[in-house]
Amino acid sequence: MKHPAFLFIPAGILLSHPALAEEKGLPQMDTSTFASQLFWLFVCFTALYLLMSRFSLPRVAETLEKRLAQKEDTLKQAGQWNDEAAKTKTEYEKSLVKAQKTAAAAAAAAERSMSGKISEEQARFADNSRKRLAAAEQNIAKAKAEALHSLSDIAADIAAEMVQKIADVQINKADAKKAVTTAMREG
Amino acid sequence: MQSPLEQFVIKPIFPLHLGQYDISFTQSSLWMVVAVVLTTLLMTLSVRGRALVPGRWQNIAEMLYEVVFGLTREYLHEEGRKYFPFVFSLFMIVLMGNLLGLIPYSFTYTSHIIVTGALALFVFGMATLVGIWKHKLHFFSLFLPSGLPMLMIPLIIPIEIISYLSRPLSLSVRLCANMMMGHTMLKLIAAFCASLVFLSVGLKLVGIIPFVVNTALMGLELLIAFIQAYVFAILTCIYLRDAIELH
Repeated sequence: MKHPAFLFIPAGILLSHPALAEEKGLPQMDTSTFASQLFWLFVCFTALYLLMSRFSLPRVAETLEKRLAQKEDTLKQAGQWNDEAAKTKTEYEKSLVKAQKTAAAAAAAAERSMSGKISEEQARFADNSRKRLAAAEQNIAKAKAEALHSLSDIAADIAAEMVQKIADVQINKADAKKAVTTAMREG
Repeated sequence: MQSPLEQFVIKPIFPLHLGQYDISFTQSSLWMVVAVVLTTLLMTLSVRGRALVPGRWQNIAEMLYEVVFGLTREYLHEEGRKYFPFVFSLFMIVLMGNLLGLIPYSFTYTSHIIVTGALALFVFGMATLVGIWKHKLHFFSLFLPSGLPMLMIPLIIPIEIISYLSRPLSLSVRLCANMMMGHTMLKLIAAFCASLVFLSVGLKLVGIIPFVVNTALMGLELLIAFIQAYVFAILTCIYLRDAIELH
């Protein structure tokens, strides 16, 4: 297409066709038709130019502009909705974080009050058991003292009887007990 | 056998005279009028509804509009708006001429050098006038590429002038030669096909081969019809750009 001249080679071959030899040659070269062709081309092209520039093209342009405006409107609307969605998402995330914080605080408070109660209970239990232990120890000490007391009585009786049997000396019970207690303390 | 160039002969429909000139309404004129009417109908009726979602015809009209509008904007930028209706009319009259010519028994007015030559000369003249009007004498610097050694100037200037002046020639010959050769070829092969069918009974089936070839050629010619109109529009834009911007 860059060298239209080469297209004339087949044209030349065609022109050498014997059927054409009798004719005038290329119909394109018939100058008697030029005036008519130029005249009608001028009329038609002028008409087409006027119709297009005044009538048709503005209508097409209007349609295209309308569509473009509609497209931009739609895109703007979509952008707005997108922004709104993003805002809602941020708000949601904010409230989520807030709720998480509240929940964590409530959990911590519950744990604190729980552990307070637990330690209170533990303290009471410990106190209670200490008291009971102390009472039991007192009882044991009392029983032990009683037992020891009765043991010294028995020892005094045995000592008094031993003295009577061995030395045949009558000693009274109180003296015997005194002596036993002293001995036990020293022993 | 009828000459395959017979189809290019201009036949008057009704004679008309303007002074000494014969301006008869011929079949060439008829197809020009058909082209104008069809273009106007296509570009007007199809966008009548101004539909947001275009239908078939509106889509075609918008595509043609946008193809040419894109060209003028690409080459002429903002200046292109002014020239757009002109380039569009040029594109449509060439495209319609090329396409309508493919209808059997119709006539291809773009296969005549006088028509394409007139259009090309008009474009050339317009571009030159625009250039001179815009840049006054400075326009002639178009023939003197900048940064040229002194020695080359006497050599380059004639070359540039010849290349500038040959623009309308190449523009018009390209279009008319393409149209003429395409149609001649179609006609030749069609005639061959017909002669096989009608002249020799035994070769009826062989006629299928040129028939298939011609069908393929028809598709090619449709493409060429569009490409040539597009090339015409592009070159118009380029010549106008050279005139507007120099280079």
